[in-house]
Amino acid sequence: MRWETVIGLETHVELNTDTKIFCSCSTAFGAPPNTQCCPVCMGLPGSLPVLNRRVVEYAARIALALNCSITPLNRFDRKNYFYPDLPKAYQISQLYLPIAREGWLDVEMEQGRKSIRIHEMHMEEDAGKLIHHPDGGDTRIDYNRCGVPLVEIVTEPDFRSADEVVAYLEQLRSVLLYLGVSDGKLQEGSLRCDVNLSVRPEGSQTLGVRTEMKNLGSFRAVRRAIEYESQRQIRILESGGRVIRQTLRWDEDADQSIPMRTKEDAADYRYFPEPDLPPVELDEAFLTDLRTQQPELAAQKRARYCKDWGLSAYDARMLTGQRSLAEFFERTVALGAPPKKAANWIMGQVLRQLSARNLQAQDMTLQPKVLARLIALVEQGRINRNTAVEVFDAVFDGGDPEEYIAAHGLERISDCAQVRQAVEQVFAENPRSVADWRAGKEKALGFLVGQTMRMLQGKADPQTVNKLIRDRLTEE
Amino acid sequence: MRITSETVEHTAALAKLKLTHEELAQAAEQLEDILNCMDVLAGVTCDTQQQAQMRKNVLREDVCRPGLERSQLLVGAPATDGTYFLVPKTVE
Repeated sequence: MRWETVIGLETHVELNTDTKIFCSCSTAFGAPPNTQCCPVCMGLPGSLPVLNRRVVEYAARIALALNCSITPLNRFDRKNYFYPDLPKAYQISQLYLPIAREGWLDVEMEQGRKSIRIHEMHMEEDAGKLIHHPDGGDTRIDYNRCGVPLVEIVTEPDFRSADEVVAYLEQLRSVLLYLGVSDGKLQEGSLRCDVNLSVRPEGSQTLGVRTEMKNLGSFRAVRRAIEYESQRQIRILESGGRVIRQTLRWDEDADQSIPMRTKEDAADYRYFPEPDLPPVELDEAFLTDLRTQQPELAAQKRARYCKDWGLSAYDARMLTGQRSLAEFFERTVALGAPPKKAANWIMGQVLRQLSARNLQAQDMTLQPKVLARLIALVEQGRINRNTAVEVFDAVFDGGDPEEYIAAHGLERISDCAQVRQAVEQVFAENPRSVADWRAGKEKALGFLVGQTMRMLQGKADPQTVNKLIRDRLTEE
Repeated sequence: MRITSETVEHTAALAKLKLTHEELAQAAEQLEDILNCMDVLAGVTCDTQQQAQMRKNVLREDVCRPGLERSQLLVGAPATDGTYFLVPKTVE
């Protein structure tokens, strides 16, 4: 029998606000443990949460980018559970009136475009970090992360493979980075996802029993976990067994999933409306403002680069891979560089330098005006392409291309008399090559051009040199 | 009685509390008292006009303010190592 894997995703996105969702504590990553907490996020008696305006704005921006219907009147709910990662013993989340519902995200796959439906998206607070003692001693708790704003994005069960899931996550990450609402770093936990997975006989319309896998901290882990879990369920069903609905934890080191809880009633969260937070109304004026301020996303940029600037789909994809790279490209073009030339420089030389330095485009000090100037100098014929690369490497970390060219005497020799003089000298020094060419050895021409270029330290235009030598050879 | 012993047992299990028979009965009684107390609220009339005037959009700006010093934060904790809160091993 052939099996089909059916997957839905719950993705938690940490928003990159300066402060927590319900209090003014910092959200900076990597601070010493328990130094970014206050009575509100610690759930001390008498404290009251107050919602961070920017969280609402960021969540609404994401909802718009995911083509969701936005809930006009938002409320928060309490999700009660007994686990020490939240000192209040409940998480403030949204169950009954989440900020957004019914959207979609188009995902580009090799096989074409696939639309993944978004079921809902809600705002909530993150929990603290538990550090378990390897020998079974006390568990240590750091509450710095407690109260950091999250949105949880829940998809419909629309995925059929790990490839689709990874493509969606990459696309979602790109949307978040272009919106500037999250840093999207999986390794720092700002993007985490839970995978709901079931299998069913191919062609079947009913869903199988699903399991939920947590703790997926990298695209690689997501891929491995999906492949592992889908094989595990198929093995159970093929041997006549039944899949149990349960929560599994993915153990990246052991490369396998481990059951967390099996009790059906374990998830009794006894949700009820949060009485400490008044409702939040998102009126049409607010949403219209957001819509007009919404930045251009990668998919829109790609379409524009292809349509307006004649770039290939591949080039457009490379350039929009990082938001700062796309911005750098656009600013270079705005300064007059031909788009195709700018694209080639960025995909070739800029990415080469970044990768040699192990940097991201956002960390680059190179200014678009420097690259635009360099491209203009090549276009004007003042330096040749090889010289331009040398200059580029020299000024990548700072410096002025024209100053560098002047200081190192790299400007192209445009004076024909100077080139002619060098040709004469090369002819005088290499009479054999001259004779060879005249005897029909075409290759000798290349040698003479090379010698002349060398004498001029590569600063002449090879085509001019070529023409002058050919003229000189045929003169006599 | 709206609070049955089953409700208390279930809640205690969720809270990972071990209660004796006496404690279960006592908790049921106390929870019932709390519910009765809350019934007072059910008796309050609240018309739609009042609801419309309810506060909404109480928001704060995203501006950082210092919280508690770690020493203050940990002062009420039953167990700490001076840096972290300590709790008995909790793995789900």
